[in-house]
Amino acid sequence: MDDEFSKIKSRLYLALDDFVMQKGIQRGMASFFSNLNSILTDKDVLRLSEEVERIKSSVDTEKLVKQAMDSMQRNGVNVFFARNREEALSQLKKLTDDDKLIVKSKSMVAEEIGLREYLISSGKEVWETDLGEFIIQLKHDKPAQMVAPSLHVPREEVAELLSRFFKTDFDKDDLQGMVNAVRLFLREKIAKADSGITGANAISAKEGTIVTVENEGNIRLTMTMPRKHIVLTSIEKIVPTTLDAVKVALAQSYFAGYTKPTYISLTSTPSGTGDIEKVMVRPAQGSKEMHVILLDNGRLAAMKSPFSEVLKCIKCGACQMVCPTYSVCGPAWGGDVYTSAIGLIWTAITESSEKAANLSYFCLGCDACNEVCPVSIDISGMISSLKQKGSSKV
Amino acid sequence: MPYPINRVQLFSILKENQKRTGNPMGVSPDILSDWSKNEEFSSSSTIIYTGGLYQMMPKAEKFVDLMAKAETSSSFSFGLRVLGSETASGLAGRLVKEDENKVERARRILRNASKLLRKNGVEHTYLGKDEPYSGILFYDLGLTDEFLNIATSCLKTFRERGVKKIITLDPHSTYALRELYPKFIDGFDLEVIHYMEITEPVKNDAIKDVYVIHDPCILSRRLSLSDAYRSYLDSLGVSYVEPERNRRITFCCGGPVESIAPAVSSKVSEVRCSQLRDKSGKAIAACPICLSNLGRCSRASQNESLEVFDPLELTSYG
Repeated sequence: MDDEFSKIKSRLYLALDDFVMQKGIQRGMASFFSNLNSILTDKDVLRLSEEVERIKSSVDTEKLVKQAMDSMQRNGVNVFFARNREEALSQLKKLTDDDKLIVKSKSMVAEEIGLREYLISSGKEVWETDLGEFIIQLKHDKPAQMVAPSLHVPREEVAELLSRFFKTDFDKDDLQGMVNAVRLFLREKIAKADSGITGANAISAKEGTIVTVENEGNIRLTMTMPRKHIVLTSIEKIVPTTLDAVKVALAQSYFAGYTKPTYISLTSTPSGTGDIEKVMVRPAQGSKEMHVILLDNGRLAAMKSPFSEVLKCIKCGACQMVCPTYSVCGPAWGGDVYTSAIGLIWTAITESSEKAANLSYFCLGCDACNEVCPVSIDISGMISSLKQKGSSKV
Repeated sequence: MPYPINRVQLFSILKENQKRTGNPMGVSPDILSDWSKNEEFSSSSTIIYTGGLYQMMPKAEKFVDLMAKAETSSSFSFGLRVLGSETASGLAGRLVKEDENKVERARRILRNASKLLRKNGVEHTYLGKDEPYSGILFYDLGLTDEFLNIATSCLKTFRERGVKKIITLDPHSTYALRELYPKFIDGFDLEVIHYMEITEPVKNDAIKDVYVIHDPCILSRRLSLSDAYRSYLDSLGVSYVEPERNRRITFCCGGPVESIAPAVSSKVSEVRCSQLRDKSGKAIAACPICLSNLGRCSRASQNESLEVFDPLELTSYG
């Protein structure tokens, strides 16, 4: 009787006793909160978020997909549309068939299709270059949050994981030492990698430009050092122009809790140089080939559903960082990929609405998520309609 | 492995209680209305509306404690015995006894509310045993058919009694009547006002402590009454400090999931209690559900106590 719901509830109850996870999440939430006030009171940031809301509210995604694909082809980029996980993986298999070593940056879309696990099971050596995602890889876990995948892993556990992996002891308070060890290890891997796979924060339809935002610098290395750059991203990231796309990336960074992003990259074509007699030679210092896979995975269908608003989401994760249920249940409150707050709606779209409905009952309906969403998505309202959907079948 | 109570079991208890007593906690109309025994009401088209929430809380606490006990019991059959579908309504309805101190506290809060209205020249009456429940818990659990039925019959009662204006005391009933009813029922035209919007309490010189203010989520975010809340306390002469998460970015007390998952609810309230306790050992919460939940968690952790007060119990009219 009501087995799926009971299973989820049991899982959440177990999470309530996971004090290590809670320590990580609650520390992260506290430091996010200390930045939040300055974000929510900065008039320029608020103006930017209003503008991004306007941009994201007025897009015609189906039309923009076509336009973006045309632009990318003109740019000398191989672009593919993948309807679902299987199509995306089969495309990636073809693109990486001869590769031995692959590095990738953090991407929720890659998590949607289980990319790392798939490539490893196909015999490739694969390394995550984002520190948080690298920790997740070592922990054989799923990301806890959209921007900070290892939010649930406090320093004590990071030190343990790294000590085991590098076979040398790390002090939990020697954050610098831990980060440095990972830096040295990953630099060597990135330099030798056959392919670098990244995601995208936004894409411009008109110019076919990929915009990424980051602080670590790993995305830049991952996309430029290997000869092959593969972008795996999803269709709702496409906005009309590059200026729009940069605004989206900036807003994402602010609402993720950073006062300024360290790097924003705009990538339109494979690397090249015309410095010798104006003859274009590829590559110069960057990648020789560039491939883009645009994943649908339920998004076009969502456009015609009561959940269409979720496609405005810029995946800043602010809604997760203020959620009380998330603060105690952590990533257990979510689907296979997306957790808490708007993660429940992403779960409905990319996994199953039944699963999301079962998860929805643990939402307090407190509306903290709505309050911090830069693009004014009624997250709480959508979760409430998931409950109604669930309860109509009880 | 603990035995989690599922939706089928919970919903059947709540629906059964609603059918039997007119509210999901199964509290009799006599108990809900006995605060008003010695109150004098005028004949008026304005009513004071309690929605039964303050009065239901002592029972709700016992009910949630029982659920929590059943869920942590290692014996599947004990869980079933306590809350199983066959015996559930009986237990939840009749055998769960409220704590008399808490019942009296609720009565005092409501008497103060009625006096406060009179002092402010707001003539009002009270529907007594006929006062209907708003249905908000059913809405919160996604049971929209039940909510719609309750709302429809609630409006019918208001119409029959010639009600034009409704003064509410808690955020949840206010939200239900003011925001949800017009969406669910065509032609809902009654005026719904939260008491803090139209009253000014007399300064209470007996209040000496410094309190930490807790913004109930619905009050601050859905009703935008954070300022009215503070003006009220200012008039009352209460000194209060702000926690980090306040006003529109307040942090929930955990109450809304107490029936679906008592353990999640109490863990959230522990987090909120510790945030409040950082500022003061005495808190103010203008919501019966917050009052109950934050109070519950401070009982659980005996070393660091947090006393929680409703603005209406600091509002003293002798």
